[in-house]
Amino acid sequence: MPVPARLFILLLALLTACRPAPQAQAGPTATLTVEAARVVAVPPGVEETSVFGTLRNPGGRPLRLTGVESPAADHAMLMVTRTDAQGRTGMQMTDALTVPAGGELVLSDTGDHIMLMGLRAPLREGEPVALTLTDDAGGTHTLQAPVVKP
Amino acid sequence: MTAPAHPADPAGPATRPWYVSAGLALAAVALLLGLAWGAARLRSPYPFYGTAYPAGTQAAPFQGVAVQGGAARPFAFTPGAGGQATALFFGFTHCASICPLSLSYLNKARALLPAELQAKLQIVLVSVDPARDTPARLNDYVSYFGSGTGVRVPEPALTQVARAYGVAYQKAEVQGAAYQINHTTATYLIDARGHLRVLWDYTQLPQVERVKADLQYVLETP
Repeated sequence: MPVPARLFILLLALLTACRPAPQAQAGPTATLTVEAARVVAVPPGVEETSVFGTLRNPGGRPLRLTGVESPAADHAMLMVTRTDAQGRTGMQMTDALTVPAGGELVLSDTGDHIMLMGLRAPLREGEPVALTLTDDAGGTHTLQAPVVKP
Repeated sequence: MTAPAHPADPAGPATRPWYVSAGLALAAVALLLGLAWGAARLRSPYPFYGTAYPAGTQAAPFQGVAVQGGAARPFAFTPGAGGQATALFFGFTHCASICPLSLSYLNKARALLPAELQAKLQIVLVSVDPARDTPARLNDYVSYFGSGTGVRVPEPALTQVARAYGVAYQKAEVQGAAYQINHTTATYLIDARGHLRVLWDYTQLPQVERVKADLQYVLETP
């Protein structure tokens, strides 16, 4: 075998060895990872609160979240924060929140977040609240967010 | 025999060397920045983290009802009364994120102050939702996140109080759920002489160390 051909085969072998193992990409239900998820603790008698945290999308496609549910509340909603021309800040429902491909979406009080309305029982600090997010490809993503006093 | 040729000077004899031009440009920029900084310091001698008010801006008094000593009583806010400074915030108890966080951060910033200064600062929440916020509910809410006074100011007085502080608020219907209120999210710091000194937007409050520095300066130099 001539040297160039041998080199070529060696190179090919090296390349194949170095290639990362294929991601377990389930296409429509790409895994979503969550960091520092937390539900804002509110006193008993208050029935509204928010969920913050960082959602990461390791997949190669943007993940468009279109719904959220929680057994802890009558309503769970995807929200955006808006300030109008008069300087009034408030939350508005949105149809979707997108976690970019290979990127992250930070949920916070100053931007996008999840709102829980009609809490079914008083929240206790430290207890986990289950949330299920649905994406527009039919995937569901379940996460646990502990109740944290800000 | 010719003398060895000197490399020709690329710039003509009449032009300034590049480093002199650069030096002059830098000096001009530095002077401009210095002037801007000087003007800013003249307007506000202390470099506040929040937005400073012009000196001598009088804060507006107001009256409402608040839980004091375990019972709902008339609450009259007289700016600077009793040598106290006040961190004043407008919000409501059905608020899902901004109000709990604002109250938490204000309490955290106050807790960083020396003990003798902590006693000189009160936190006051005025409800922009008097229809649903009773004094008792406001008190439970404020107490949950630390210590302070939750005041119910009924309409139409509330409109006047809000206007005096430059606060706007508006009901926002939420599909299939209780309404929310969109409102101005600033916290106003009133000193022991009753003057408005600085305001912070809620997005600034998480920087508790910097808020604490503003608080300490105002408490020490009324």
